[in-house]
Amino acid sequence: MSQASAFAKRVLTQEPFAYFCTTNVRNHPHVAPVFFIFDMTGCNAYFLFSADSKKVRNLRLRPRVSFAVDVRDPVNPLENKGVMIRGEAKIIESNDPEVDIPHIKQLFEEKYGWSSLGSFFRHAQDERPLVDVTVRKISCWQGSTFISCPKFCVASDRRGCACISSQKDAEA
Amino acid sequence: MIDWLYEAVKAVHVTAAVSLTAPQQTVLHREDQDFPAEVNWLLEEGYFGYLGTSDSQGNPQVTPVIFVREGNSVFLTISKVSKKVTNIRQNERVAFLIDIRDPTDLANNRAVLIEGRAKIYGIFDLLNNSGRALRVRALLLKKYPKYAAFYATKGTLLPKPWRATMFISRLLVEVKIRSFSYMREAKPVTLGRPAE
Repeated sequence: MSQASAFAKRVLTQEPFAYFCTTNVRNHPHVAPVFFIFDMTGCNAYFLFSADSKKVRNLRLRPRVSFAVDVRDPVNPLENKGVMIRGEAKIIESNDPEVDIPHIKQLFEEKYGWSSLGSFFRHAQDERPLVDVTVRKISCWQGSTFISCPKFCVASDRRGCACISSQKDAEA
Repeated sequence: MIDWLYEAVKAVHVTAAVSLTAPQQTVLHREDQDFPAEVNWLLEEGYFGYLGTSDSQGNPQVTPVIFVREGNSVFLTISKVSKKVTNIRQNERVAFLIDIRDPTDLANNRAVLIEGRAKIYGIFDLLNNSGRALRVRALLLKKYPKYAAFYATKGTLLPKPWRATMFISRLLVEVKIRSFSYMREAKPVTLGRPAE
């Protein structure tokens, strides 16, 4: 695994915040900081949002979303690192047989370290829907190196995936 | 407090003359000269921002950037070859989020979400707004002295898209603030009147 791929994997599993971007029907973007987990086994990201939030209203109508997770360096721009993901969001129904909700719950609680009393899932699903983002493309940057689709990403096998294995220099 | 865990922050909408009822997004009017103190603080002290753009097909993208605030706008310098520039040329509506994190307490962060229109400065825009462009340059140098020193001493070692050379590698982008939402934990807050 390349250094950048290893970094992308680490940042997606360890960083607490993601910056989640949706658009409304008039194509106005919206960005919000959110908690998340990333499941490496399926290359899916999961979020818990308020049902009445703008994010949820937007993604119900326009499921294409993007989110970024980054590590900032205030001194050296070459030390800025991050991952940006594009994908399609879907609100998970509580009885969806294809989603392993206990596994997702475990990932949330392992990452954020909260007891079951303060569980992420203590609210009803219709109040705090679980959102699954199916990854279509991962881009990561580490200093001046920019990589599309690190090796761990299984999204490249998906239909409609935009991943192209390429490496090129890119912007700060 | 645990409710906060369900979202990193929940937007608390404010107005210039803030009320606690029926939160609304603040829409700026031409006569607005300033923002509530908390928003001013983020605009001035926030070190990184997240620019959300989308192309004409509605495919969003979000990336971190550095910025300065000048008047009722924020200014960015972004790579000419970036997807952000392509998106802005197709759709000038953008979202810009500035947040300050507390690494010791995930619940203790502040953010402002700006919605506005982005304008990419061409050479004639720079000439017609040379005073403002110089102010923006001075603000960038003052706010990011370590980055400035880095680019001054090692900039030529960087790949071309990363360099700071205006028009060769980078473009100046103004985001005119049309509205904003202030975010702090999950509790509604009153921000008070705009700073004087």
